[in-house]
Amino acid sequence: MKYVEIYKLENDGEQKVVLVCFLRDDGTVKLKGSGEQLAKNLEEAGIKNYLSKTPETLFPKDGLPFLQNLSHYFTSGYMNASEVKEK
Amino acid sequence: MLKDLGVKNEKETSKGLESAPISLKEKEAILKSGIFEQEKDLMGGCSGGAMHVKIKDDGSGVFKPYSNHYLYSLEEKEGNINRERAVFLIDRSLGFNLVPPTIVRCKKNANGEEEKGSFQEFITDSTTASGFDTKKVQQINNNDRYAIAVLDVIIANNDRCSANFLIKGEKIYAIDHGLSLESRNVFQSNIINFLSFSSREIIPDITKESISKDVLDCMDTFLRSKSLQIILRQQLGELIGEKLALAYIERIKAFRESINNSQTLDEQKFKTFLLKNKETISKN
Repeated sequence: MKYVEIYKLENDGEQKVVLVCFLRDDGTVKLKGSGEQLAKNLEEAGIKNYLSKTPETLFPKDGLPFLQNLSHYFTSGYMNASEVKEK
Repeated sequence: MLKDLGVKNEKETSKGLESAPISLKEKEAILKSGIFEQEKDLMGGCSGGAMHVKIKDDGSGVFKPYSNHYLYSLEEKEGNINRERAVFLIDRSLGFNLVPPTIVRCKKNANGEEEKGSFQEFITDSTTASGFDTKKVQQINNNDRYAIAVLDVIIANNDRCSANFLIKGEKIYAIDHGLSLESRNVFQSNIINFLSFSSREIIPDITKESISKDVLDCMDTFLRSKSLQIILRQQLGELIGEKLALAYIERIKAFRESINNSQTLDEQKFKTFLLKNKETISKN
């Protein structure tokens, strides 16, 4: 199963996984974890597609492209996303 | 006025790098020469190699060498690093004080080689706007909301997604400016492209909503001061090149001249001014 972890940087420099984004069999992404507001915002507002030349917004329902773009979207250090992992 | 912007002046800057009140210059000095006591590689983030660094006795920062990004050439990585600092300088010159103190410095990497990166004060107890409940937008300092909207147009920021600004109490902190101040955008007026999708509930559309007077006053203070402009031009010139530095300072002027009586941005006027800038600067 393909998934991406989203990490929040704590004051002491440790990173905590606040959301795991799983690619489901139906091709959509499920968001799970303690970052409920973050999940809600991602569901409602989506993220920029950094891999597309034209402006485009991706949502969890878009599946793999959404997962692939998370690590481009969350790069500040305060909140980072992993590359797509598989288990 | 500066207090209204949620910012303290140099003498009032609070909780420095997590210590007693210190000035901005002192903060920059700490970032520049403070001893790295503990470095933690951060997982994730495609720009690569970011670290949380604890400075001996003086708080912490985020070091970004942009070292692992497969999309960027070496030149682009260097550009990203310099632009992080350049935007901090513009922000401070305008008196917005949204960007945490940011410097460029080198540190040894795991192979013992010197590695250049941007190093920015870490803002404790903040959340990225991605995790913020936008129903609480009225809790955020209104001047900061307008200031970040203005800043993004001035620096032609392509990347103000909600992951790239922080909220702490009522204060906004603008971070991640590696994709701003690009030469291809300096004469570009289409700010809709610069406003990113999920930030719109917090960052106002200044073509429709009146920019707060305090924010415009800050800009006017900068534009009245030739010496501030000269200093900024010199500082930017070292980071992004003289011609581009001039073009971005002229962009600030063009922006201010495009604010109409209702204190909104007249996009058409802005476009016209930028075209004039393009002709003038290209000739020289």
